Amino acid sequence: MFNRELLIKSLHASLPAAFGYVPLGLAFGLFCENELHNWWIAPLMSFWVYAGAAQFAALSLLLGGTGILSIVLMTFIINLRHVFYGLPFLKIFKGGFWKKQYLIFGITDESYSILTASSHKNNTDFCFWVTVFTHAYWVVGSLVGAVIGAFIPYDLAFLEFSLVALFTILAIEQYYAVGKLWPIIVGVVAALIGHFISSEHMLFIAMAIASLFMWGIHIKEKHA
Amino acid sequence: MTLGFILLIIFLMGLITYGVKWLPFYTVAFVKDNKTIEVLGELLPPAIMAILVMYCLFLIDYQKTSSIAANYMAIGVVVALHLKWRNTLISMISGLIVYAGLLHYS
Repeated sequence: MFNRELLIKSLHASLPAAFGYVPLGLAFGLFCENELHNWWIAPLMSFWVYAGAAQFAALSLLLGGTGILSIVLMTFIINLRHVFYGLPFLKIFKGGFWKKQYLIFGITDESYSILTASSHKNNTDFCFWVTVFTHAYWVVGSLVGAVIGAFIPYDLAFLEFSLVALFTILAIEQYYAVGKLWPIIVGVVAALIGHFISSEHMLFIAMAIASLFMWGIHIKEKHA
Repeated sequence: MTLGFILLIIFLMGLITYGVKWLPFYTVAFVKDNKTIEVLGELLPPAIMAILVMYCLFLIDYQKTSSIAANYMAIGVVVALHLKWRNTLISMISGLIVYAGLLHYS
């Protein structure tokens, strides 16, 4: 497992994830520190939760004073796609109990695409080290961002826009991935309805409306 | 917002995220060929991102009209740049610069 050649091979394979995770982690750490004024929250959250978009979303929900149920539901819906990420690795993620649990915990958009594309993907130890390195990029990025944020004496209020920008960018990326515009429109309409019913519970109502609508469309197509 | 509340949120989020990834390893039959989850897993994320953008916009302090205008203009810049180059870093940093500039000079 601590084979030098294997470590180098895994590190090399994991590098593309660093280009995404380090800058995004920096932004997360910087923003989190600036709003919550505790340098260790960002790295702790990145270590324990390890889910980019959901972490940013949770931060904006916390700042908006949303309840626990909305944050839980949002985390579940944003991460729902991960249900399928394990399928190619059912027989590959093995070894001791904790090693297997860590491998499962460590599947993300990035590690999934790196591992499924690699010729070494049948090697459990290779998967393990790629997961460790990828996880480390995210945690270290968050830590460095938070520490930098703690030393900057200005109130970086304009950083609040980084959340809006990130969600806008992710929406566009989702549009490219799915190839359909209408899910985004459903989201906008659901948000407006939620806002007019109750601005306090807007997020929960909007997510429920969007989920039910998508589910309805799916049922209708199945019976068509 | 107490520290205990934040820690509880972090703890729960970790459990849920892990739980979703854990499902196929222990309930293959449930996940495999489950068309409903597959469709929802594909169609919901874009809707959620749109909802989150709207959520952030609703959070804006409506006492400060300049901040509303700055938000919408900066979002326009982010959308235009991202559609053109599709580079997250460029889109994000340009949006922040435009937003900070508009706030500063308004």
